[in-house]
This record gives sequence, C-alpha cells and structure tokens, in this order.
Amino acid sequence: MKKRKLIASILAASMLVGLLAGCADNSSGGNETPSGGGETTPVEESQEPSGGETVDWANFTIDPAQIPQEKLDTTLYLAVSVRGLENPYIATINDGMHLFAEYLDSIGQKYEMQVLDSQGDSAKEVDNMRQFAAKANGNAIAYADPNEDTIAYSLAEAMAESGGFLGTAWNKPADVGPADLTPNWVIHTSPDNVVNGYNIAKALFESMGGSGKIFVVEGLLGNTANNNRVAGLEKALEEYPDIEVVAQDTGNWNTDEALTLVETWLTQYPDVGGIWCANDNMVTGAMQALDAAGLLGQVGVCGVDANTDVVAAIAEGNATATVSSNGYLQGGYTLAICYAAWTGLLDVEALPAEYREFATPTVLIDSPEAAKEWQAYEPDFDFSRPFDCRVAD
Amino acid sequence: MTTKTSLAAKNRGGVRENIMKYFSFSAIIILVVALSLTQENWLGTTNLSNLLRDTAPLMIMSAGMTMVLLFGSIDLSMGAVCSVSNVTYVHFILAFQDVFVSPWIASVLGMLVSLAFGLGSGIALGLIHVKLKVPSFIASLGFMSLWQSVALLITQNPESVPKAMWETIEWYKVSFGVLGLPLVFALIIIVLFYCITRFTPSGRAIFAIGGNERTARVAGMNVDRTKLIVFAVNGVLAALAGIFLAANLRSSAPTIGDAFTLKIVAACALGGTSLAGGKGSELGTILGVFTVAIIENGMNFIGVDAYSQNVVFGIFVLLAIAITVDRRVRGQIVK
Repeated sequence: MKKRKLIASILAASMLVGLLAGCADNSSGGNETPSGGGETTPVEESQEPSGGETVDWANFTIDPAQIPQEKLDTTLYLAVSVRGLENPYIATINDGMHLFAEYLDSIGQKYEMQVLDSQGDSAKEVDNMRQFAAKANGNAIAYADPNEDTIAYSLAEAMAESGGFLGTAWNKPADVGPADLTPNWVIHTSPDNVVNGYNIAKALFESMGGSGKIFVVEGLLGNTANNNRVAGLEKALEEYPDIEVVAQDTGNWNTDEALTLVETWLTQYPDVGGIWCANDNMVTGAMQALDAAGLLGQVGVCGVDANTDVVAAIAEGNATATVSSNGYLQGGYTLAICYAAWTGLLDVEALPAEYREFATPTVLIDSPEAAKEWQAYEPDFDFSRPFDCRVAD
Repeated sequence: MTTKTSLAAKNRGGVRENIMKYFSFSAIIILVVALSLTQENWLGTTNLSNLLRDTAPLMIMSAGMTMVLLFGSIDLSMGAVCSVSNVTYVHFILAFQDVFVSPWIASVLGMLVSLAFGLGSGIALGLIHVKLKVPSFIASLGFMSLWQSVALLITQNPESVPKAMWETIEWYKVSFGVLGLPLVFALIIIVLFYCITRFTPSGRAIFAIGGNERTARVAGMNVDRTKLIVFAVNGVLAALAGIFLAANLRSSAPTIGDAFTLKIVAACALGGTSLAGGKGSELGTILGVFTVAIIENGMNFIGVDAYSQNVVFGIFVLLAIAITVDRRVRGQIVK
C-alpha cells in the first residue's frame, strides 16, 4: 500500500513538474520571438546604405547612437573560449575581454561575461560553446582559440545554430573559413607567423654580427604555426648566408624536450652563436641548458609568445628577442567586431573577404629597452574603430 | 507487537527500495525544475536539442556497459576503444577519399572498418577474461592502456573530415523537433537490449550469471558463450560511439574517449544497476544517462568553471552510489 502511495505521489509530483516546465518553456519561448525579430530588422536596414557605393571598411566606426535601445537593454553574453587561464598569454586574452567590457559600460550596453576553459580538450570546447550559445539564445558574441584547427568549424556552427556571433583566432583548416557560415562566423584572425619567425631570426642574426652557428628548435611538426615560423626563419637564412644551421629538431613546444635537445647539441657544438626556438616555452628550456653550460647571456636565444620569464630575460640581456601576439588586442577587438555584427551596424554579408580573414599586429621585443617597455605596457584601445586591429596587406 | 515492528521494518525497506529505484528519476526532476526556474533559456529549443543529440554516444556505451555489469564484470576499455574507432574512421576517410568514386563508399567502408575493430577488441577482451580466467577489471584496464596508445599511434594530431566528405556525416545533425537522430538510434539500441535481457532466455541468462555464476553453470547455462557475446557487442557499441563523436565534431581526436570511462560507470550506477551484478535494468540506464548529461549541461550552463566541475561530478556520483547501494544482505562483504 505504502509503496503504491509513494509511486502515486511521485507521479503526481512529476505531473506538477511537467506543468511547471511547460510554463517555463513557454516563457522562454515568448522571449525568443521578440529578440529574434529585433535581431533581423536592423541587419536589413544596414544593408541599404552599404548597397550603394563602396564602404570604407578600414574606418568602419561603431556609433553608439545608432544602436537600437532595444539592443542596449538586452543582456549580451560575452565569452572567450580558450585553453588554460594559467598560461600568461591566454590570461591577456581574458584581460582583452574585460577591456572591451569597459567599453560596453561606457556606451550603456547590458552584458554578462564568461570564460569557457577547455583545459585542452577539443570536445569539451565545442560542448562549452554549444551550451554557452544556447544559454544566450542568439545574444552571444565570443572569441575562440580553437584547441585544434579541426574544431574551428564546429565551434562556429555551435554559435550559428543559436544565432550568436563568433570570431576565431590562430587555428582553422585551410578549406573552411568564415565565409562558410555567414553571418555568424564573423572573422578569423591570426598574427602572421611567417613575419614573426622572420623578425626574431633577423634580430638573432644581427646580435651575432651576421655570421656563426645556430641551433633550431622547432615546435610540433606539421602544426601550422610551427611551419609558418620556420618558413620565416628560412627566409631570414637566405638573407644571411654566413649563418649556418648546425642542428635542427623538434622540441614539441615543450620546455623539457628543448632542454634535452640543447644540452646534447651543446656538447657537440660548444661554439654555437645562437638558438632559434619556435616558442618561448622552449626558450626557457634552452636558457636552462645554456645556464648549466655557463653560456647564459653569451649565446643569443629567441622565441615567440612574450612569456613573462623570457621578457624578463631579454630585459636582463640573457635572451635576444621574442614577439608578443598581443592577446589584449586579439580578445578585445574580436569581440568588438562581433559586437558590431550583433547590433546590426556591421553587415557581415557585405564585408569583403580580406576583412573576414586577416592578420593582427604583433609587437617585436628585441632589446632590453623594448622588454622594459613591454613590461610596463598598459593596453589602451579605441573599440569604436574595430578594424584598427587589422594589418593592411 | 511483533507484527507492528515487522511491519515498520518492512516499510523502511520499502522506502529504501523506492529511493533506490527512483533516485535518478527524482534527481532528473529536481535538476530540471531547478535549472528551468533559475536559467532563463535552459529549456529553450537550442539547449534541449543539444542535450537530446549529444547524449547519444554516452547512451550507446552505457547500454553495453549495463549488460556487462549485469553479469558482474566491468569493461574499462570502452572509452579507449571509442577513441581508436574515432581516429580509425577519420583516418580511413582521409586515406581513401580519392580512391572511390563516391564519398559515401569511403565513409561507409570507414565505418565498417571501425566497427570491425570494435568487434575484434570486444572478442579479444572476452576471450582473455573467459578462457584465461583474468578478472575483467584488470583485463579491461590492460586493454584501456593498450588502445589509448594505439589511438595516439594512429594519429597524434586530430584530423578533420574534409569538406568534400561532410555530406556523409550530415545525418548526425538530422533532428525531429528537438529530438536528434543519433539519440533515436541510441534509444532504439537500448530498448532492444532491454527486450533481449528481459524476454529472451539467453538474455535472462545474463541476470542468472550475475546473481550466482556457479549456480548458472550448474544449471547448464553456457556462461562463457554468453559473456563472450556481450563483450563483443560491447566493443561494437564503443566503436559506434566513436563514429558518432567523429560525425559530431567533423574531426577525430585520439583522446576523445578517455573522459567517457567514468561517465559510463556513473550513468549505469545512477540508473540502479548494481556494480556487483545481477540487478539493474537498461531502462534505468536511460535515466542514469540523462542524470549525468543534465548535471554536465547544467554546470556548463550556470558557468561552473572546468576544474570545479569534476569535483561536483565526483561528489554527486559518490553520493548517488552510497544512497542507492543495496545494503540489505546481512554480513555482506564489500570488495
């Protein structure tokens, strides 16, 4: 008897819940229509002015006065989708979002911020993005650094399904791009790694007086960023014929592996003049090996990423050069462009291809002075001009 | 006096049984109510269709694991088998996309190769367990380590399904309202298994083996054959889940299955399947899977950070199993 009663009460409870859930569903369904409708109209409106003459996209400006009050009063969800906030570079991307949030405060936009941390798990990054987009129900803008290039499309698709706007950075497969998911996949940007690889190589060779032996520590083989940086190095090598590469191998982006490689090579070539590394984690390893051999400060080392310890080493004269990708700029401006798309001020469909995929500027740190300047760097951006972050071809 | 106490005891037992039976059911209700009241768009169509599509791989693997648990064994290698199948499928497509006239041929062949691998790995595990008398826990742990490495040997870097092949995986995104096609597949599989374990003699043998394997043997059941078949089916299901994940992400990842191992066991346990064997139901597993999925989805929705999520999840699983475990047997020994 008691058992039956219990079953009956559970059933009754579930019906009640069903009713409640039904109500909740209705209420959210009710919310969907006006915001969805509000979203499409301004986009159509903004097509009219752009239809006529050519638009000066480089000077495209977000004019807060043109943003419908309805949009300003809607809660906009901002996110950066990254792996591991403990990485100092990744943390600057999050800082970029906070800078952009200050801009939103200044124009009176209602918003909520979130960090989607994938912890280096691609499937989790896509799941996070799906749930974030679903939660925002179309009122979402995000910056995503795809954990692997393979998931870039899935991330954009997750956003597109709910009508939000996404900008990706660094990794994506060559055969897909923002044009495949217009308007929701707004942009894809990346610092120019060929230029980065070239610039640090040049700084290294100059510090060596233009001749001598070097070691090359590559990142993960086959990785796009590594290939491009090495291509930049090769370009610089052509310009400096007296520089000789005596050892070249991969340290897999890893401090430990770079340490082991450089230690081994130093026993064979104690007269080495410089070490070119594809990233700063490996510079740290190389510097440890040099330190153990008593060569720290005598042999030039360069890398990419502007890790805090490497910048400090440059300031002290123990390393030669590094490049900052300026995460503040990447995070902040990507959100600014997506915001312009969400408000309807920016017509993504009319945006030419070179404004959908472009390179973002980097900062070369190649002297103790430059390093000290970078350590004191306070980013200050004008987000009302979102395409200021684009390096013109 | 005596009747009263025995009645009270009986009632207590009844309540306990109900808690056990309806734990995940009530957990789902509480979670759904709490999330829909506090999170505005949680019951929105986008989130519901996410939830009702992406649960499919977990559902498929839990369907298989339930049967393994029912006869008192465990298969910890499912996640790793899923990873290998996942990378094999995409690798095959990439290698043979230009060989065949239609992308469909490459895609279907790739699926068959992956499923065949799953079958093979299941049979291998079954044989080692049944013939060499190695406990399933340690045998599957060995296979887990083995297949994890094999997946990484096939490809260290995730690979994309090329754009020309996308049409062959579009089926994954098909949905009926908010109910996705993958979940329909998964539900058909799990209901089929429910019917087999309930209504066919060979299916019921699974319960008998789990209840008391010695008795089952004495009663003339072919215990070894039953176990072998279940392990083989389990391998195929894990491989199928790997293909689903590849279609979902349009790419492969050699470590994609690792996170599933705990989730599968948790879903089965939450669904009321006893880890000691002999008790449980495939239908309960459906509830268990949804409990796990809603907890995960809800935490992402609220914005619980990634590191704390694992803490919350672990505590929930421990609590759930502590509440639902059957402690009525006097002098029970827990190993």
